[in-house]
Amino acid sequence: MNCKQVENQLPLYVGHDLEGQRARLITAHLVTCTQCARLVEEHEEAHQLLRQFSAPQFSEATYASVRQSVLRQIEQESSPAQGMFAGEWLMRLFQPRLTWAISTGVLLGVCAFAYYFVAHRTNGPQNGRQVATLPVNAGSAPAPATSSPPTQLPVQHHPVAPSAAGSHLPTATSSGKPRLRLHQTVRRNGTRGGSLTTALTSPKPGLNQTAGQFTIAGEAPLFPGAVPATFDTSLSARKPMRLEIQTRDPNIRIIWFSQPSPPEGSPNESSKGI
Amino acid sequence: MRSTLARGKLNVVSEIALNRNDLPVSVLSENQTWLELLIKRAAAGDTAAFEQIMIHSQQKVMSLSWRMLGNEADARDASQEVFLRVYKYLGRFKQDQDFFAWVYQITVNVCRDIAKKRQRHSAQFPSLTSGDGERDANAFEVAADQEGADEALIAAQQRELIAGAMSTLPAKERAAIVLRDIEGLATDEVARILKSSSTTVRSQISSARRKIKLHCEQYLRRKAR
Repeated sequence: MNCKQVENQLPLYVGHDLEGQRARLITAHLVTCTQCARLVEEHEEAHQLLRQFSAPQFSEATYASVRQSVLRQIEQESSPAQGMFAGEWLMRLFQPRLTWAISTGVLLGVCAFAYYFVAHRTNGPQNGRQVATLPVNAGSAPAPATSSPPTQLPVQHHPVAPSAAGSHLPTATSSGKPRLRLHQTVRRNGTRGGSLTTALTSPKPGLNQTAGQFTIAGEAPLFPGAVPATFDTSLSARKPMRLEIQTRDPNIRIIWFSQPSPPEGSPNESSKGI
Repeated sequence: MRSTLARGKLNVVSEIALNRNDLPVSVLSENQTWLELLIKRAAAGDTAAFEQIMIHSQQKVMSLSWRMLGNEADARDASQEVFLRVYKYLGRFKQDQDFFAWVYQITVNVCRDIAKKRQRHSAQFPSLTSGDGERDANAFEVAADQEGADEALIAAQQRELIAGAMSTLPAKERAAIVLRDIEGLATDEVARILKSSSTTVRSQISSARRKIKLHCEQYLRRKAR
């Protein structure tokens, strides 16, 4: 063991805090090394001073005042509980604490926000349906300006044969099996407040059921899987058309008749909404 | 002598406790020391028994507080807080524990809290000539009359020297060195009180002793000039 190692161990050595083996090694080193022996003497002097570092003798009055103060505080803390009436005790028991009050407030706030969010989502399409329905009913009446999301309306489109135009035309049924439907896209014109226009597609052979859809011009179709309709003016121009739009309200159905288009340049083109 | 005194206290306290709380006599086992009995009575709400506990431990608590904090005012505040905590948590004290080690632990924690609260990083230990140490100086004056002026002066200088050295120590090292070297507790016991390992305590003690020695050397060097 060299002097450096011994010097590091000396503070513990003078306090007898070292293990027996290590202490013996240091003792053996001190016999031969006078420099380390002098260091040990200095450490022992400081250690002796430290051991004599006694607190002053406090007077009995000091101790008594401490005891009285403690007992007084104990009495003050215990006395309100003994003298408390049952009503006060119950009131204190049910008295809302600040933490609980804040937690309850936050919870109510979250609930209110959630309710508003859900209610807003539910009302959105209803507003949109009104917006989409009104212009169709009113023909060319401008639609109210709104930023509500577009709505989905079940739409039935029946090409009316000239000989079969009448009451036996297929209509939407409550059984959920419409007999004939075509792709139909109702687009809102690009300008706000513009009227709705219908774009009709001709029935393809063998097509007996398609989904009607509403879209806003320039936006994606409402149904992701739906194929945007194509507009074939030649068919609608040749045959009379009957267009039924069933709103979500079963009591409201929009029926649109379209007469065969007269030759170009004729002023007799007309349509009728019921 | 002490056992006779303790037995006398035991009888007094037992009578008081039985009159106040009507606890069964079987509780008073022959094997229980009077301190354990006092603790039980105090935990049951007997303030007279708790006052006896305070009388028995006040000197240790005050001395340790003074050594940790360095002045009488803080030591008094600390002692009050210590006894309040002892009374509050007496129900949690386990009978197989060393009561005074438990009290020391509370005292060290309270002194740390007070030291942090007051943030006395420097001059925590008052000089004997300063205004803060007026009461301590008076105590030394009284001692001087009794022991002789020279001895009192030397004792005061040594106290000032060690107080200054202690003020340079961090709180943990100070607690370790006070408990180990001044209170004379074993290293393992100090580690238990400080909720630390023996190795850590040994390291803290070694560091504290080295710093105290260094401070003493510097002090003596200044005096020599």
